[in-house]
Amino acid sequence: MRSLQKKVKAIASVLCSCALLMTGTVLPVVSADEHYNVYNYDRWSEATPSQAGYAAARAVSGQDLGCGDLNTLQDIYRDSENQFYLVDSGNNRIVVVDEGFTKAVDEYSTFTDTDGSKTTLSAPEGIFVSEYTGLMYIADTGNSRLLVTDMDGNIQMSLTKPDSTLYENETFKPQKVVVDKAGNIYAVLNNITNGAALFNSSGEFQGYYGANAVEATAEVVAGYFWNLIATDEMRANSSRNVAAGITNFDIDDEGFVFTVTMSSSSESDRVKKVNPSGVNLFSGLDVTFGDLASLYDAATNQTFSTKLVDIDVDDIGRLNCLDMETGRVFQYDEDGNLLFIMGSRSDQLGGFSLQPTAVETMGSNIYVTDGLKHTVTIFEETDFGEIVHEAVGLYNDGYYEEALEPWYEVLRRDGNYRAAYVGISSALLNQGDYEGAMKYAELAESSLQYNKAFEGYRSEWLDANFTWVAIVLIVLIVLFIVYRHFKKKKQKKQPKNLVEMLHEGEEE
Amino acid sequence: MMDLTQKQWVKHTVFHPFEGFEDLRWKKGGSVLFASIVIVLWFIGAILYENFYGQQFIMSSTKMFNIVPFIVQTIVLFLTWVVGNWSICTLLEGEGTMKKIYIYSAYALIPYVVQLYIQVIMSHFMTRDEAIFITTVEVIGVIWSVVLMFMAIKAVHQYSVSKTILAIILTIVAMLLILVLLVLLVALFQQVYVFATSVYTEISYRMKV
Repeated sequence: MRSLQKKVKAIASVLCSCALLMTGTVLPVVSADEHYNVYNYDRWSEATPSQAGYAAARAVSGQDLGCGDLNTLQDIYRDSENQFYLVDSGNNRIVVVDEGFTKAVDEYSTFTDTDGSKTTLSAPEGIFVSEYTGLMYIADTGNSRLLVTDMDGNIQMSLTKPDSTLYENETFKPQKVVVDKAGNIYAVLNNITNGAALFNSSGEFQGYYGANAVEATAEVVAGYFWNLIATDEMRANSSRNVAAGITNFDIDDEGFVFTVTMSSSSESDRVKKVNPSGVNLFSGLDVTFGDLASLYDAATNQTFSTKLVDIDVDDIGRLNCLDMETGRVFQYDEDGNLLFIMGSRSDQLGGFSLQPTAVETMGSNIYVTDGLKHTVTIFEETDFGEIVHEAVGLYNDGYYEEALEPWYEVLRRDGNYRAAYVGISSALLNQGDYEGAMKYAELAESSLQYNKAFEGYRSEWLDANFTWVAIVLIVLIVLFIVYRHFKKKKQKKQPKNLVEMLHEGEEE
Repeated sequence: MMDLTQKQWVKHTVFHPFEGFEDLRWKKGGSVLFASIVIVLWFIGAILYENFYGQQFIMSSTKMFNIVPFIVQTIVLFLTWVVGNWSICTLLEGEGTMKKIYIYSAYALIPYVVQLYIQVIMSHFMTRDEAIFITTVEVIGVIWSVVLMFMAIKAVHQYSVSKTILAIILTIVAMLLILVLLVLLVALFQQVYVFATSVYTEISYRMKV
């Protein structure tokens, strides 16, 4: 009796847990309540509907933070203690916000200069706080200077237009600033195409960094040849081919600078990963950042093409790129694989005005500032986003088999997610399940992955069936030889016919 | 001498690139049926090549299968070649008739067509490291067919080498002209069709009122 009871109990519990599992996995977590169409790009570079990886949780205004209205937010920066620095450009101040984004904890509007006098900001556009130097770097655009202050607002250094002969430009309007571990200061300057200005830690101008190259389009090449035969007057009237200046940048923990360029003419320079010697490590990457094709909207008679205004590298190395044109944030993993697209241009929560300005991350949250709405929108990871991030993280670190379960879960929620098929295929390949790996590689349309799996499958198959293959081959060869032999015998008979034919000819 | 069946003629021309077509012409061999079979096999082979190639070599797979491009790229292309070559070579004192050009050109394509099938089969047994074997097959097939095609045109019109080259270049120009005219014609007929249908709808609406 007891054993029977136990059995019934066991069966019941198994059934229960099964039911739980079923509901847990089958319940579709549909793309939250996003008011825009969430999409991703498929194998053929076409937009396909997808699950949302992020959902807009809330939008925070100055009133919510208790620091008065914000006006024209230009930049947002998170320091190592998870405090946020908002560049409130219209009010000429820096607002410091706490980790939970609930209240303003500090505000910088006046600074004490080195000689003791007070000074204020004028339309600042960028900020950076370095954990290594403990200083705050402010791009004070309106005053044409770059302020380096301590956390109490005492100015340590004020960088203005360099006297150096290396500096080739008339103006000095720093807009964005980052600082590396050694304290070198990189500043994006307005209207300057040579790249970012680079200062060393004591404020001396070192040169330019990370300039874009002119893309050799047909027009540019043709222009070059025209210039060879043109008169001076014609040359003076023709437009110059100048690479677009970089728009914004960010620096990761390893000292790589990620730049974005807004100009729609240079697709290959849209996002660059620049190493300390100025080489673009993304140049060999076959990735188009942002929307792949520009979109024509017949209702408003507008063409939307990607114009990235800001980039943020989070602690794990993911890239978040903000597109001003469509108000979308494109999230990529460290290798440039698209993970999610979020945001839109609209008035609702999760939508942006014509002027989203900056993007920042903390953990899995994404913060986007809007220069016309004067708010900060906070995106939070959805369940789906969490699973994808887990899988991608494991996969990119080489834990293919550990990533298997999350990938399956991703597919349960979104069968269009191509990276999942590649991930599962890699895991199965590692486990030695070549046939499964081939199946998923085929579904992913990844020929490289399929090739690896097929190689394993073939050698395994040959090992198992070598005797049969050998026997079949030998039989075929023997049959062929026999066939040839009989054919030759037949042909030997033919001369008779020829002779007969010849005789026939004689008779005629 | 050389009383070959039609099947044997096919073999003879393919494996005797330099005198095969002359013999074929001399003995008045060659059949439209076999030529048509070759073209149909080419058409099927082209489809297989695009859609049933080994997964490990595919760079971009088709999302939607459409048969029209394959018809244009094989059958229409071949017919254009025949018509173009005939129209040029009639002016250049060539001896070939349209039927002969059709047969000889089709026979010349055999190595290329066979190569398509061999490639597709091999692609299912090879990995990317061994792609060189497949490329070898492809190169051999293409060169063989080019040589055959040259000799075929030379034989069918009884041209010298230099005149054959000229004829082939002019044929390609003629093919382009024919295709442009075809596209133009299709576009024009479309206009006529649109006009006719709009007149019809207009009248049918008036009738109702």
